[in-house]
Amino acid sequence: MDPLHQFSIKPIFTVVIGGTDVSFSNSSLSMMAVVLIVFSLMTFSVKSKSLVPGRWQSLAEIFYEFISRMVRDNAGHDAKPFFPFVITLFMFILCGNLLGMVPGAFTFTSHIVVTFSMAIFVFSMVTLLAIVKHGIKFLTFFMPHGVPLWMAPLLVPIEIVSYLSRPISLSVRLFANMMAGHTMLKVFAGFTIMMMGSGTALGYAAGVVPVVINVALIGFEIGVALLQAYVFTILTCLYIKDALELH
Amino acid sequence: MNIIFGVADYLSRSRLIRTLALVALVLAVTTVGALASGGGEHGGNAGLPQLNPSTMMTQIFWLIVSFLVLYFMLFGVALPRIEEVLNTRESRISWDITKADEIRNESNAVLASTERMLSRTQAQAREIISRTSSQGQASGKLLMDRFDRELTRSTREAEGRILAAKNAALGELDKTATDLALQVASRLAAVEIDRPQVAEAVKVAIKQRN
Amino acid sequence: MLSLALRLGTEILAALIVGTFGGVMLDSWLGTKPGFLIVGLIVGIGGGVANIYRAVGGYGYAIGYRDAQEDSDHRQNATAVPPAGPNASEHKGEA
Repeated sequence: MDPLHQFSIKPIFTVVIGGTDVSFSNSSLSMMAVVLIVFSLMTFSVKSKSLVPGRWQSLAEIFYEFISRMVRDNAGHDAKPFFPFVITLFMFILCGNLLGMVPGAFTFTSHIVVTFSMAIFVFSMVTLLAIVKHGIKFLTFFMPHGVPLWMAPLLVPIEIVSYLSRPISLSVRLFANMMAGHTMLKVFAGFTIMMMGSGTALGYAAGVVPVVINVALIGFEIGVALLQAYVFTILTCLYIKDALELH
Repeated sequence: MNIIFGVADYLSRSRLIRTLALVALVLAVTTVGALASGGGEHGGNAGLPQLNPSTMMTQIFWLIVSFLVLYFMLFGVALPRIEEVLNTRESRISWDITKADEIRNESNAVLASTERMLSRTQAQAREIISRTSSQGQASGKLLMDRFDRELTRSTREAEGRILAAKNAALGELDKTATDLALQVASRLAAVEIDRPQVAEAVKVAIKQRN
Repeated sequence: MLSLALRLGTEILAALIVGTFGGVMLDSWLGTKPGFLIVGLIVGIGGGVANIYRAVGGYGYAIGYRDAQEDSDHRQNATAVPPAGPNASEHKGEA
């Protein structure tokens, strides 16, 4: 009945590397399932000789062209080398979110550790990219244009904090959305069980209500799953653009 | 985003849904408390599983593993494959288009030559027809002319014959009239008149009659 | 509305976390127990306000304050596909 129980990590078999417990858990299983699903979709459905794509191949091509266009439009032409990374990120998050909508499946994107790891990787990559590309000029990033110099001691720390908050807002947004949605579903599902547990006719009748709400919520959650994968990816693209252009 | 807003908008407009949502909210508020107190009694592993530090390393580890695996799978296998398919299709389509253009040009050329040939043939046919018909006319005219000539000749011959006969008849008539006049004169008046004189008189008389 | 609220909350929370965490770290390093925590909190609030200003004011997610006009395609938020014009990058180059 605990709506947060669904987020608990359950080890499947124990793995210890260098004294650290890195057991293969239900979260790891979901990740592996996502790897398998994405790889199958993007590889086995694509037949090189077919001029007219089938359904699955069309889907794979839609994802490919969607992300390709997103990278080109939002990160610029110089960002082409990042395309494989961005599409991997998008497919990984998208499938992780959607897989979480399957009843009983674990949603690894509902864990802050996972989303934060991804966000901090994006953040480090983008920062390194900016430093390598622009050197010391990178620091002008933190001094807004058209601001008097005496305001710099005030604005530069704020800008630095704002910059450093990027990975946090990026990861918290995805994590909070996924967790809130799944908790809400579980809470409403719990209501049904509680009402039916009363055993009265009224209880059974009222138990239908949360089911109806959950049907709507599941549709909503699928939308959120798509949207949050999209937001995470497009922000990555925008950050890459910032690092490349350093306006 | 707009879809979600749209759905939310739709849901908020429907009275039934709104009522249901209100009922659900009341139920939620009343039962969350019960749940919380029940959960408290339950004990168990308190707090968010997300904040349990003992499970963080496994997640990071397997995230890195699976992400890297997926990245290299996509980078090495899937993306080149899709790219190749898209390129092949694009080049095939453009090849098809150029090929179709070629074929169209070719067929246009064939059509033009066919039309040229047709018009030439038509002109030839017209010429032959006109030549044939003029030839026919000419030979008809020739025939007609010959017939005409034949006709006029025979007519003229016939006329000549008639004229000769008529003249002969007339000459005979003169002689007979003269004889008659001589006999009448000798018998009635008992005068012997010169034959040439009578002939002259008969001629005059006949002329006057005619 | 809910998603916007959630988003703005995330923005402010993120900056606050960074500011506070930075302040605590500096305090424990320099031994100035409450000093940098307070500074960090203030800076964190400032950063959060900057984040929200950028998010709502249509400055995109980038650091700094570009012309809102120039970046108007990013106005809504990242969820609306910004159809980056071909000359958008030129503008940024000279800015």
